[in-house]
Amino acid sequence: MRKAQSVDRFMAELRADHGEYSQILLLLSREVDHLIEAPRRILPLLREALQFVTQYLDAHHHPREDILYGRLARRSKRKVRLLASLRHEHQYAARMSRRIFDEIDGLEQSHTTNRLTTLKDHVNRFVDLSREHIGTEERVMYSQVTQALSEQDWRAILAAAPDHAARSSIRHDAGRSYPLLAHYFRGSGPHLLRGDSAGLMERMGLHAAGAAYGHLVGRTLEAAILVGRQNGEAVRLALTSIRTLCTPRAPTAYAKAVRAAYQSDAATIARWVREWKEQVQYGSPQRVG
Amino acid sequence: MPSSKSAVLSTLMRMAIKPSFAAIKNVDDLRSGGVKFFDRVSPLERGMTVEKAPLTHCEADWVYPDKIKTDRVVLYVPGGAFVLRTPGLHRALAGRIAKSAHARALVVFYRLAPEHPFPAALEDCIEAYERLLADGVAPSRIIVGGDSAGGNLTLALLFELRDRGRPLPAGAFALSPVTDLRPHLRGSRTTNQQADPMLSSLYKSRLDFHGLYVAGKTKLFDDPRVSPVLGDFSGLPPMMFQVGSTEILLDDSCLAVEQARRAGASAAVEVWADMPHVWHGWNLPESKRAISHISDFIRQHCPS
Repeated sequence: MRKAQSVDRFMAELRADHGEYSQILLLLSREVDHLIEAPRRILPLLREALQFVTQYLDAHHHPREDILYGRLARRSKRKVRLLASLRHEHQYAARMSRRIFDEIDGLEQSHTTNRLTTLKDHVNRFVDLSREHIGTEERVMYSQVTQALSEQDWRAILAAAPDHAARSSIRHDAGRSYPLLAHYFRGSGPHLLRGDSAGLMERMGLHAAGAAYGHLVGRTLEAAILVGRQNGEAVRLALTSIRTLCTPRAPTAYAKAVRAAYQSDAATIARWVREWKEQVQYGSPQRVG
Repeated sequence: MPSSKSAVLSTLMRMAIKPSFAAIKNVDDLRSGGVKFFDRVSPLERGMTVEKAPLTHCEADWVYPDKIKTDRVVLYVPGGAFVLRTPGLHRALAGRIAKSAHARALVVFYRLAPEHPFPAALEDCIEAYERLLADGVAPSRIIVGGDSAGGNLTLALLFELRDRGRPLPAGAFALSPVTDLRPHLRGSRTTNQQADPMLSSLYKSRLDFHGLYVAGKTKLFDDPRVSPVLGDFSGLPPMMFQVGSTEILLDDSCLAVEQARRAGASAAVEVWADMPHVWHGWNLPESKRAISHISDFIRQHCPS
């Protein structure tokens, strides 16, 4: 009974570690979005997250899994390659997390946008690989491991991997070693997921123009539909929108016009359509929107 | 900065989907058009099994990766404004979540309004959950989640289970949920009216989905099982919300999370810049990333 309880506790700790690992991956994936705009706020949080990864997951969780996989490889010839691959991924992840940790340390002294972008890419890659790795372990290993191993195997595993190491995980830490993580996990305001802050489409203004153009066409179509229901206000909106689409003098001016339309109501659209007609008629420069 | 794919999608939605809703005169129009279009948005991935698991009054499907061995279950409640069913879209979405989280998903195709108004849909969700428990699935191995109207039903389900003293699931997630069915235009219902590429607050006068859901009994809008943002979130399991920054339903998620945290529950909301309503159902880079966040949440609260 005691042995069975130790095995259950050993596996429960490994599974709980995966839960914490996923929590850390979620934090990294969310917060790395803000790295370039707010490095002073984000770098210490990332640093503590990577500290947990290197000090606990790489130092305790993965070695315990390696011991487990070593015994499993003796029992399952079919899985030898996969198990070797998983152990290799542990070593690769440890090198990656150590490198990221050192990058963060270096950036805390001084940072440039290029170096922050590189760090962001490395963190995203680390997160993707870690998720894939956890998924493989769940799919192939964790569901079968307790049935595949004998009592003798478990005795050897438990002797080689004492579970007191689990007490250095976040769930037992109570904010002592990882105060920033504890504060973060207690909760904060909405997490804003933003992606790249200076993508090509943003720099070319295409995103806003596309949204504005779509808005204008959509509103025109909606107005036309409502016209079919003899809605007077919609008739006015449809006519001003159609006129807008027909009157731009140049692509740049058109992009500005649709951007203004995106942010404007029907009255404003009517006003600058009027201004535009004056510009066309008299040739004098007018401010649009 | 959203991906170019999502920007193009939002533009097309703004041009076609949003104004097309204006043409809808009745529920039959919506159902025939909605199924034809939304059901083809993204197909079920290869390597997935679909298994029928009918409930007393409605259909339900198990969706899971072939040959999966797991006791982790996602009880998925699909959206559709309480009146529309798009089984292809929601099997595919639930399937992607199940694959990412190494789980089996049970998708509940609850009874729809106006034929079956409140509380029929909620009762079907409760039955689905109780069926899982009766089949031996531990509540600690169940995560409940849903999108849009399904997010509303997810929260209502949690309230009901708690109030009935039933064991609660390990966690819950809500994707672009509608948590307030009261007829108001406060907050994002107005500020995002133009920015939302898909939904409009102005359609209520043409096709009142919320009114159909409560069969015209507007007093029910103040019932927390209909407008969960008005409910008591104390004692509920951890919750995760995801919503687009331009959605008219932005405040539905943010206010629900505020209410939950005030009541001592663990809740977090992710606001995704420029994402349309339930973007998870489309094949976008942001869809995959959002689903991986849901999987992280599931693994955190329901370890393998």
